[in-house]
Amino acid sequence: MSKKASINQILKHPTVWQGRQRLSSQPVCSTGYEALDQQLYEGGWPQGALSELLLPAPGVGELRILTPLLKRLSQSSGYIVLVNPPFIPYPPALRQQGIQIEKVLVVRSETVATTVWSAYQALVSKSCAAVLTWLPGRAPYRSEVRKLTLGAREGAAWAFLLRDESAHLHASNAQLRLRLTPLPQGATQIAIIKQRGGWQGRQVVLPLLSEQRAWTALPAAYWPCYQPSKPADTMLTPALANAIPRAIDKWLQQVSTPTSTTPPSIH
Amino acid sequence: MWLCVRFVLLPLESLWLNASATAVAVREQNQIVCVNQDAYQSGVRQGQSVATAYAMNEGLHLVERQVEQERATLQKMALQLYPFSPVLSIQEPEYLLLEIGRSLTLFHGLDNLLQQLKAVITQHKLTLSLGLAPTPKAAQLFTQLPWQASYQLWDARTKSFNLAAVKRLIEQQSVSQLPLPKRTLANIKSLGIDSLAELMQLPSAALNKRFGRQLVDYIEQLLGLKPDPQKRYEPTVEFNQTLSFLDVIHQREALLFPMRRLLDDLVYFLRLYQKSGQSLVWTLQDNYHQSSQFEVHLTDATIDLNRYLELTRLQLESVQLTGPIELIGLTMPKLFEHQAQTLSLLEHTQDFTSDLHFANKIKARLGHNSCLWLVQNNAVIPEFSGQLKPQVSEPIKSKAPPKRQGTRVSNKPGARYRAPDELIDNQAQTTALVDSSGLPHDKIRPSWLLPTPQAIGSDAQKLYWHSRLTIVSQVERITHYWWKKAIARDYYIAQSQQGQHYWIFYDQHKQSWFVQGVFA
Repeated sequence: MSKKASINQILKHPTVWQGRQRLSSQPVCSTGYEALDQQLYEGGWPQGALSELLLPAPGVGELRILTPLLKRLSQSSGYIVLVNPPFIPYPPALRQQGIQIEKVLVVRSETVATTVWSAYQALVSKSCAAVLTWLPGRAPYRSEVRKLTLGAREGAAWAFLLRDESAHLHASNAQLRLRLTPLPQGATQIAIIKQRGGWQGRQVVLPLLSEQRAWTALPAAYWPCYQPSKPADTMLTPALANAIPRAIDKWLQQVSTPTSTTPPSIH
Repeated sequence: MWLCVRFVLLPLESLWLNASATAVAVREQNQIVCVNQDAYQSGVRQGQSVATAYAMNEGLHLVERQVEQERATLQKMALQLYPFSPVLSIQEPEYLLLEIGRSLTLFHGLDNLLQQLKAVITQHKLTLSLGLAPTPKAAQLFTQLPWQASYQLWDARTKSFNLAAVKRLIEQQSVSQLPLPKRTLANIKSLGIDSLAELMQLPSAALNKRFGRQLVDYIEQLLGLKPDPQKRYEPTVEFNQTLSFLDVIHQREALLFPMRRLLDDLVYFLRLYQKSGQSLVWTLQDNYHQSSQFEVHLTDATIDLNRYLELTRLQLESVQLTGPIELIGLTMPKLFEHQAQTLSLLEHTQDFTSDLHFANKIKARLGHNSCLWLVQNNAVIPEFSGQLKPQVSEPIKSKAPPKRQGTRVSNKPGARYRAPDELIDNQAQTTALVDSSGLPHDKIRPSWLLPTPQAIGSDAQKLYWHSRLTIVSQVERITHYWWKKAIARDYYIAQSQQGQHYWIFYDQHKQSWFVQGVFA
């Protein structure tokens, strides 16, 4: 055996780690956000693996960050399964973002055991492209995470676990762990807690709710709520309901920049 | 080539009375219909009145005729004889007609076929007489004759009938044997006509005028001059099996073994008939003879024993058992033709399948309403424009753009919103700029919707829901339902102190704030 051949043999060995070489063995799908893709070692959401999204509360952009992936997956084969989501998905909004809702299945379960079981069944079925699982509370969920990881690997699906951000204190089997923190102006800070093969601790800020730039805040003076300190004519009654748009127009003329993003301060 | 099987003693034999040692006769109203050997020897005949029959034999045992039972027996025999020919028709009250011309090669000749056919019928302890003829009507007529008479007409070497002999034999028959209304037969008799030969000498126009179309049709069909379509018998395909145990079953898991046996049979049955169904219905009977049923829903039409077993096992976990089980039954209602999927032999793709087995499993274990499809409605109210359904019944059409509007509220502050079904509006109006989602381009909608709008705490210049809310968007006014109860909602997007965004609205009539959705 020549020397070169023996080196090649060593290089082929799976336990030998080689610096500066990306193991593109695992298929990935781009997140749709260039800034995030660059920070991820794999360059996107890994297929056949569990990714964790840690949230302080629902509604911090967790669906927006997955929307490009879900949009792409819903256009090819495979279902998208939401297991125990905290609220009802709103079909017009999903359609607006390009997700085909005909492919979306919602599973409702009552206990953690059945939630994980349902998600596992969907993952290993080889007919679900993406499975999003919500787990309540702050438990470590070690065995549950392990089960979802195994399921994702077997079914070669994109598995996501969404749970409370306090879980970052616990170890997890997930290949990729992201923590989402909302910032003002509709942006979300994404911190990479763990990723296989790459550096952890990186942060990236994504304008997930980008529409906010176009919003125009209404000054508190025109809020239609009960304000005893104001004159009676500004109190909104059904008869005066039509006065509101006119008032807004008037106010828009007053302010110099109509697309100001500054929310009015209320004290 | 038609073979007619006549069950001579069907009224008696369908009641299993032929073998009884005493004299037995079947009566219908006041007339004897059928008698057994003992009764016949004592002089009781078919067509006698009940009084005459008793006069002949005092110890005669009379039974009422059971037409339903005869029909069931005939159906059963039709199924038994179905392997001999697929062209089989039932002629009530006692005939089965088989077209056997195309079965001769399969059975290696007529003699072989008849031998096997007779064996099947004798197994069911039925007395038969046979008739063989080129037409069904003639075959039926020849069952009145000894078998040899019609058997001689067939030439096994040339595999054809001696048609001249057939005609001769038909002509020899008496008119009184014809299966025609009694009044017609009496009219023919009154002309002094006795045999069919005499009848057939008369011109058909005259027969038609005198006795009606029925007689002429019959004769033409008898001679094969006119087509005689038969109503073909088709065996009903259904699966209904039970399994009873000498020793009762106490354990839930132990039920799976007999269930597997039944499912094994079911899968064999489904493969054989290329059928599939939508559900398995299991019947469990305990030893107090209380039976309970449970249904296992199947979304896809795949025939697979292990899948059926797995779904049954999952469902069985949640079934309440009333006692030790001594009998289980399995049926599959509403069978339909199986649509087999063709798979490519060479192509191998990484695509995901469209198999819904996982949804079946989840439904089987967690209940029918646990796995739901997302469906967009034409409803105009945000909380009704989305819906979760256990099954998608119809393909989803592209929806007309819904116009958001308010819904009715009660007068009490903080009261919960009710779900008025009548407010689901199917005639949503179109607006100029809409995208595929049915929403205006410049409006964004939250991904999450609360099941019902929830009241927000508010006082002067403050909104509070989990934390302080600040309105960050312009107002979007919705008014609707002026014809019922005028509704006006002003929608805003609000930001919490943590940075989350909510979709909130101020109800003009209720004069209070509600949160409707969450931007995620």
